[in-house]
Amino acid sequence: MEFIAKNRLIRRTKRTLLYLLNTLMGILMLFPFYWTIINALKPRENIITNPPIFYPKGFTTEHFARIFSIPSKLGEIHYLPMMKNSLFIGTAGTMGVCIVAALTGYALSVKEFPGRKAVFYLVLSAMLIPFQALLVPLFSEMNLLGLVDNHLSLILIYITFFQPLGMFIMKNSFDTIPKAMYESARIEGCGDYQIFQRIALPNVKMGLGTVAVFTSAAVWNEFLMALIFMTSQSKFTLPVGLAFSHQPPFDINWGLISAVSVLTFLPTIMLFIGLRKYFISGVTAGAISAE
Amino acid sequence: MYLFVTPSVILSISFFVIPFLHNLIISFCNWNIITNNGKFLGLENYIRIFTDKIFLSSILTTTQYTIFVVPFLLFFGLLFALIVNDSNLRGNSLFQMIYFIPWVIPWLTAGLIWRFLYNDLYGPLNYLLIHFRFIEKPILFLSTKMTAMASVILVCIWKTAGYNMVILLAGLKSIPEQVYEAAAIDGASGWKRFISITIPLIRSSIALMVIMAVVGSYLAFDHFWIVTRGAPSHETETILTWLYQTSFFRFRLGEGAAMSVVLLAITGIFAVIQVRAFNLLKLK
Repeated sequence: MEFIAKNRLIRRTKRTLLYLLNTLMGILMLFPFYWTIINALKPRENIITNPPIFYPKGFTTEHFARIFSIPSKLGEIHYLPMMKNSLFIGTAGTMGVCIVAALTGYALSVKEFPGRKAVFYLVLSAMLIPFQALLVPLFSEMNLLGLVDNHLSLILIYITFFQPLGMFIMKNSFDTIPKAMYESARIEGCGDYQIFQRIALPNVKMGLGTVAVFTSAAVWNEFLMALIFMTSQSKFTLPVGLAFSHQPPFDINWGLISAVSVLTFLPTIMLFIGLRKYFISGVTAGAISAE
Repeated sequence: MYLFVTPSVILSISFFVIPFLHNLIISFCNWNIITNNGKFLGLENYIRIFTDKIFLSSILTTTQYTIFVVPFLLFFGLLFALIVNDSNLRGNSLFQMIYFIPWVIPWLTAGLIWRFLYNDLYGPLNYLLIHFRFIEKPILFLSTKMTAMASVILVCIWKTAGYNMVILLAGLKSIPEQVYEAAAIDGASGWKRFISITIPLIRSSIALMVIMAVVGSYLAFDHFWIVTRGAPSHETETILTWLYQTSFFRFRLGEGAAMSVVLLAITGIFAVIQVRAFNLLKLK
């Protein structure tokens, strides 16, 4: 009896310690978000203070209002078009990856054809070689095609470099569909494309969802390519606009920067909280493909 | 059937294979950004970048960053994975979610948020450190290479520890409960079980996490760009931040392409190690 009681005590202490540690870590991890959100809503005079104000003192929507309005002064950043650009590129890039990855993943999963392995490794190798290392030739190529400062350049690059993971996830999803289903459809006279659309696609919703969620977050967050390929302010994406809002040693408007920051992270965080399963399965798939 | 793979293949060839080969050509030329043309120079670009002090120091900085950040990521990734792994713990999925959240936001935003936190005049971090008497005067985080690097490393830990947690957690979940029970019956202590059971059984997850973190670290750009922008005086340039400035501020595309070749060689070596390591681990 005494042994059991002691064991229970140990287990209970262990659990309490785990809770404490988790709570502490959780607070530390969330603090930067808390800080950004309260400062996005504080009036200017309560933001840059010493000592700093750790609670939401005063309330204003002036920073958000500024983002959604046309700037009155020359040299101020106009954020509205950037949000539209980010949404457009995000949507186009995600749809592009979903379509291309589903088609290729399907072909590689279902069909035997000469060059099948070559296609697989060609697409997948774009994952081993980082696009960051191809800045110069990509810029030169887009220059030649007249696509610098055109959203199409970003969309094409994003599709090319985010499709390998998508294709990998889609191929694995299609692999789980029993081959007999295709056979019976074929006997009933369905063509290749019909089988793909009517039989295969409805059975890989989880895979397709993972690809869509993962790609949209990756495209929305991408900074380096967007910084290089878009040269006029009206074409910038939101992260690039955010980078240009912070120009030391000039006067830094932290209220505005915090508000723009909130707009850059809120969509992906909501997407993550709503569709957590897809994110986690995307990370795991990425890890498997790296093996 | 070939119609299905055509879009993928066309995209991969036009925006991956061709640029990859073109990069080699540019690295041997004095490429002009306006005329989009260049004259053959031979090895001159390579000689220039390997006598460019900032480029050499950027390789060193990126390597130092990798060496320091990866063990921290392993430590915190493993710590988070271990403290949320207990399925009897209520709310463990909530904590898992909280740890992962910073990974889904843009690197750039993460960098800026922390830049505010680090400020020496009104930033909360310095205030708290002084308030609790860890330091007397505010730290100017960007004034020395060491503190600047430390601040970027902290951003990276905050942002990616949760991602690494997920990878390691997949390993932890694959260990059958009976293994621990057997060890407990044999009287192995908690620490002993961790060292001689947990670690060896998740070694392939660990290896995977470490290699992905190493490659990721060599490609660091966004957070360095916004947090330090090379401060103090180019001491914290990474390979990519310097490549970007060389190509698009100093317009030396040839040298930029040569730097890309070096970067590709470095990440390529790790890709080979990755493939080798997993073949080894699988054989065992």
